[in-house]
Amino acid sequence: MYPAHCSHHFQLEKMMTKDSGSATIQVISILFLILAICIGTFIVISNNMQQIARKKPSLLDHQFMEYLDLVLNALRNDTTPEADSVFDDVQSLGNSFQDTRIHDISSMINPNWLNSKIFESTYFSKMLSTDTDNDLFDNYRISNGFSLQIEDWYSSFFSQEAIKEFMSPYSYINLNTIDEHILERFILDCTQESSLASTAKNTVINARLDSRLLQMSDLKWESWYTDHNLASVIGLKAQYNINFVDQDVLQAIFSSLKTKSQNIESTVNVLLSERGKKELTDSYLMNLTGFDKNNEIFSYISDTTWFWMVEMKNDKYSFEAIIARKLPEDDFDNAISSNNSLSEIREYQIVAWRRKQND
Amino acid sequence: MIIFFSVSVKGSTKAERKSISATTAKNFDFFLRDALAKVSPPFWVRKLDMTFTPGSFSVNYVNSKQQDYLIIDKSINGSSISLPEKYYSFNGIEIIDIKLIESHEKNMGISVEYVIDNNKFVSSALFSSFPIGENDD
Repeated sequence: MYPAHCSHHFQLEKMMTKDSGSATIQVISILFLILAICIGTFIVISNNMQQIARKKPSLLDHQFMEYLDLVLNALRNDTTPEADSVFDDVQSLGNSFQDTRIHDISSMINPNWLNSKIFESTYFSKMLSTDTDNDLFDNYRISNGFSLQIEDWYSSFFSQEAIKEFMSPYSYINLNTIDEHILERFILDCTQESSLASTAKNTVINARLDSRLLQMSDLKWESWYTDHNLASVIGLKAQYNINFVDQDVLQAIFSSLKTKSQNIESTVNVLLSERGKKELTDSYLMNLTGFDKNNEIFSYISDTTWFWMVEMKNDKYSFEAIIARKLPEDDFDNAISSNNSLSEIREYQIVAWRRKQND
Repeated sequence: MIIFFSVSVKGSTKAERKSISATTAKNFDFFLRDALAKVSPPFWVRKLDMTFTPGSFSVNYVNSKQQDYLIIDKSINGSSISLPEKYYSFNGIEIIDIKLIESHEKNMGISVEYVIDNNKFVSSALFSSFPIGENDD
């Protein structure tokens, strides 16, 4: 028998032992709980990372593609299909996005196919670097070919500012305006056949010697054109849209015409003023200038945009895409008269896109 | 308790490996998209020079230059993506299949199916430009 104080001590010891055991279990339980939470969190994070890794395309890419779909639909279903201008529905798209823009880039100067002779007596010559000239520029293209990266490719001929402000590599080749040697080089690049390239050059030279413009009916019999799928990039459509072309380019084109307009400056001023009020069409241009549809001006200027740039920006990223309107396979006017609807003729496709992080 | 610990450790290891796989896949996906975005053929070219073999792929027109190629291939410890001025190696990635992404008969990019530590992933990436007349012949 323990004395009373001993019994008390024993009970206290027992209680202490009991409490210690309970504390150990509690500590172990908490450790397990923490471990379980850590493992759970780890699994959740790893699964999320897998989901992120598997997410294709990224949300922003997807948003941009959705926006491009809207743009393509608006272009295909233009309610005023006879011309493209700032008054078209496509220009007011994109209100739900932070910063969006669509603009014509085929009405800019394309240094790849530019006929420097047309612009030699205009401000274009002033854009050329002082240590170079039109001949050097032409020879460079004939020797080296062409590029989409015009900032680098033509850096020894133009300032970066001039390239950014006035130039774009996106436009189709017009057989009635391109230099024949530049065309020869282009066909050679596309087909790797010098005899075809030479035939193409001669087609253009012969038409010019006869002082006539080539027609689609001429090209139907040219095998260099029909057998090598060149109709998707070479045609007879005018590059510059009267509704978007730069004022100086417009002035240069009118100045270079063989059939001079009565008063170039006043004609250009009227066009610039009117296009701010309404969509200008070929018919309007014919009425204003008095030139008929077969005049050379319509090899340069028309009412159609062939390449659009679409831009979308948010705080972090900028997106750009180039949309091309496909050249019609047959003559546009014939296609309309053969009861094809205009929406069928207006075929568009995305030809380039990029995403970049903002600075 | 030992069983509980063993399961916990196994679970933790598995989760860690999954996480590493996912991170590697994310990196591969990023570099693949970045590399494919450099493939920018001008709209006027007729054809791209593309080759496919099991586990590898090559295409020209990197930065619009006809002679410059992007190559995705097997490497000693996994797979690699090479460009004229860059080379990325990815340890532990085994490429199973590479397929073309096509739209309206145009080549838009590629889809790469690969395995990392028994986890299967698919990454898709687009070129940054697409020739207009390609495959119209």
